[in-house]
Amino acid sequence: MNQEHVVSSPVPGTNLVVVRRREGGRTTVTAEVRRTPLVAVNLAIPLGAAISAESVRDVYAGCLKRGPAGTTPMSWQERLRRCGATMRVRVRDTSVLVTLVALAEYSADLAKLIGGLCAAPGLSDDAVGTAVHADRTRGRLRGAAPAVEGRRLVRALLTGLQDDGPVDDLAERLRTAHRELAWGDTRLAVVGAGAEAVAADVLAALPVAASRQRHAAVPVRMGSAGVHRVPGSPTEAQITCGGLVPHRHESGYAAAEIAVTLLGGFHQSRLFTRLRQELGLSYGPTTTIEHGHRGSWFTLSLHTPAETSDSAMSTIEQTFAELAHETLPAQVVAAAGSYVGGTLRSSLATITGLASALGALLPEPGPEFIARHLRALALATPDDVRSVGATIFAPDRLVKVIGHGVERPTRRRPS
Amino acid sequence: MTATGTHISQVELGNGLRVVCLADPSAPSIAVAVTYGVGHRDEQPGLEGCAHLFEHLMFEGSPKFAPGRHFTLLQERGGIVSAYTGLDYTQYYQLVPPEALALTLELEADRMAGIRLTAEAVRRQVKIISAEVRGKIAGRPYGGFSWQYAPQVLFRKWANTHQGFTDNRALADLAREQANAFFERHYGPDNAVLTVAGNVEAARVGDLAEHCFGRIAARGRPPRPDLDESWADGPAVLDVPDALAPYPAVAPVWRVPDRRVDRAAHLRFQVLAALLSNGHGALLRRHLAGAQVRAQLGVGGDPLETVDPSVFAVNIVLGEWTEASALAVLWDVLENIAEHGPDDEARSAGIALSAAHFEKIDSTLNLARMAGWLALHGEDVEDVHAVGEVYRTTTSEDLAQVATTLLHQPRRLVRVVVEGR
Repeated sequence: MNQEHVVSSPVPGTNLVVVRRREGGRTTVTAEVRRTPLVAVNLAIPLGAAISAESVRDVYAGCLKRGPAGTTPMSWQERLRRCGATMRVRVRDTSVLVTLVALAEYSADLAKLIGGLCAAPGLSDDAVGTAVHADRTRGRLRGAAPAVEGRRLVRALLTGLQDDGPVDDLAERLRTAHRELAWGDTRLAVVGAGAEAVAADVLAALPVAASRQRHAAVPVRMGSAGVHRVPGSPTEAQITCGGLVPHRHESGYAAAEIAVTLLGGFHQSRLFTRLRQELGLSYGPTTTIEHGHRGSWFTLSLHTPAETSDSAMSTIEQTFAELAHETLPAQVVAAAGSYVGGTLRSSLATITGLASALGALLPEPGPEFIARHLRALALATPDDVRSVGATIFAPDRLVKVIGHGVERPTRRRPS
Repeated sequence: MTATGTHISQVELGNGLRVVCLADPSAPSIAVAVTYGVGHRDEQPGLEGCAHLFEHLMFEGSPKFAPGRHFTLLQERGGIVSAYTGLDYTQYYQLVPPEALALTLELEADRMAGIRLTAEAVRRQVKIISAEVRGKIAGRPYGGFSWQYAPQVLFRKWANTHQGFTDNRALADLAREQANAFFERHYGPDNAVLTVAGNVEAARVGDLAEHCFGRIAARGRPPRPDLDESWADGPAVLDVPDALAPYPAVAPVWRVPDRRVDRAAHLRFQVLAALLSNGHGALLRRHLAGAQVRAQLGVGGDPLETVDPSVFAVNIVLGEWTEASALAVLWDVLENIAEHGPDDEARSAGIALSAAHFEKIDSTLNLARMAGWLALHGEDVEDVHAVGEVYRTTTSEDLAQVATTLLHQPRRLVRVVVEGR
């Protein structure tokens, strides 16, 4: 059954109109923005369980970047460039996100390129071998960055998502998995000049297959005692902490986002004040919230000189304890809520940001979430924040990682 | 009116402050940037890092606003606030809702009038900068590669070669007189550009600018240090030890033509960079499979940030390649371009780059920042849009000429040496 729904001004104060369509299992949102002669396409390809292992998804994404079967990366790149297109491919736990930004005058060609890529990505033994080789190099480089490795470990400890190591018959496994992909669950967001027409062209070019795979809910781990240590710089320590937060569809999400921001993330954050302004131990603690089908989690990241890493960690633990119990002044909570709302609005101010944000909200909670969330941020009270803080900052729900030391990091990648 | 619907207007106040408005009623918010004509190149020996220190000190309070209030007042209104120090400028920028424009200008004007220079604030910010520099350079693999080091193998004058993004603890003892002198010399209205972009009318920007900044007396625009470099001869190599790097890396670096003399000749190096390294099928990436390749024009995130002398670099993290074999591939690729040109690839690389430029200036904040650099450097502000046209119209012959230029320069290398090997 087809449904069409118009969401007027999901961003208050703007005249943005978003149209959402449901056709079969597919969900599409479009927003007509004519500020630049560009169009941004955000396509979430739903992955089946067969390629949900992180290392395998990385290779699948790598193959997509190299273009469809029967082409070379060179000719694929050339075809993209002729549309003025740049393509980014990112992996999530249940999907691969393909983002293309192109000159709108070439949008019909762009739709054909997307359709061709999705119908038959290059998954020959040679293509997969090349992607594995590149991924191994990239993985080693990524693993050498303590900040990146810290975030990966925090996510793995909280969600169970981690590198599964070498995989047998990888190319055949990818080809089989690709044939079984749930194209019926495709999620598409198009923003820019002529968005409606572009979305129609892309949908027409995509493969058609019923929605047939679902990911079973997996129990999440609720934190991990002690401090995990990973290799890093001999002179600088990277501290990464994390914990689970309510999901976006849950009532405590806005308060959780405020609580995490008050931890570290803006000028009035407690760790920003203490570790940077008062102690000078760190340039700036930052926080993010990520979402996956196994839950949502926050990550706190900062670096500090190696010799001060223990005292920095003590300050962090003390701050967690305070935010788990304290009722903060209403003015402070309001300031944090306003800041979070402002960063959300600014992320929606470009066509690529808007396409990414809208795509990430599909199929649920949908574009309406933006206005709803901005209201919830404005209405959150100190009691709401303390209540959610007591849960998300409880010691037994937190994971803590310090990256420091001279041992050269290595990472296993698929064979 | 430009291709993106932005209406650009400029005015100069009586005190010499240049005001640029990029009005776009479709933008949801307003970006404000104040760009001062002081960067790392304007420092004095012994005061390395002083420009960056002042970027931090400008948030330590002004006559009317207490330390940190610039951040808190704007953030609690949903604003985003930041600052950056480059070789040739220091820029303070914020993205705010329309109703916070007047407050933003008031905050910027107040600290242009004066800042609270206390010994405690200086010591605090020196310590914070130490943590910042250590984290960004020593705390990550390939930190500062190769932008931090390229000028050292290409140029000779201290202004061009010293490291401004540095952990200079000696600045903690900066005398009050020295600090005051630096502020007075570089932070006057006649050494600055105010750019406002987004959902605002030019007349309102002009009125607000006059109201907030018009009272500040001109201090005289300081002359820049002598930056002229001869096109030096002979090879040079700089080795940079790196404790975190899993692979060695090498970056051939070159000097590029002055953009203010020949804009197109300068910007075409960016098209060559795209041709060599943008995307998986890029020319050099497909010849150096397994290596990580990134070519770039300029020192910083955007070619427009830096004025002459500027740099073109091809950064190669070698993976399993040897340095000699990777460089041999690069020279072969450049010789082939110089001899035959890249044919259709030149046009498509230019089209893709022009689209990437449009994507960049779709951000109101980027637009305000770029306009600030251009106005400060005495370039045409309309170039924020015109550079896309230069990219789009670059031909195969143009790129052959760029490659020929590179091949005729002496070979200069920055190398990352894996510590312990």
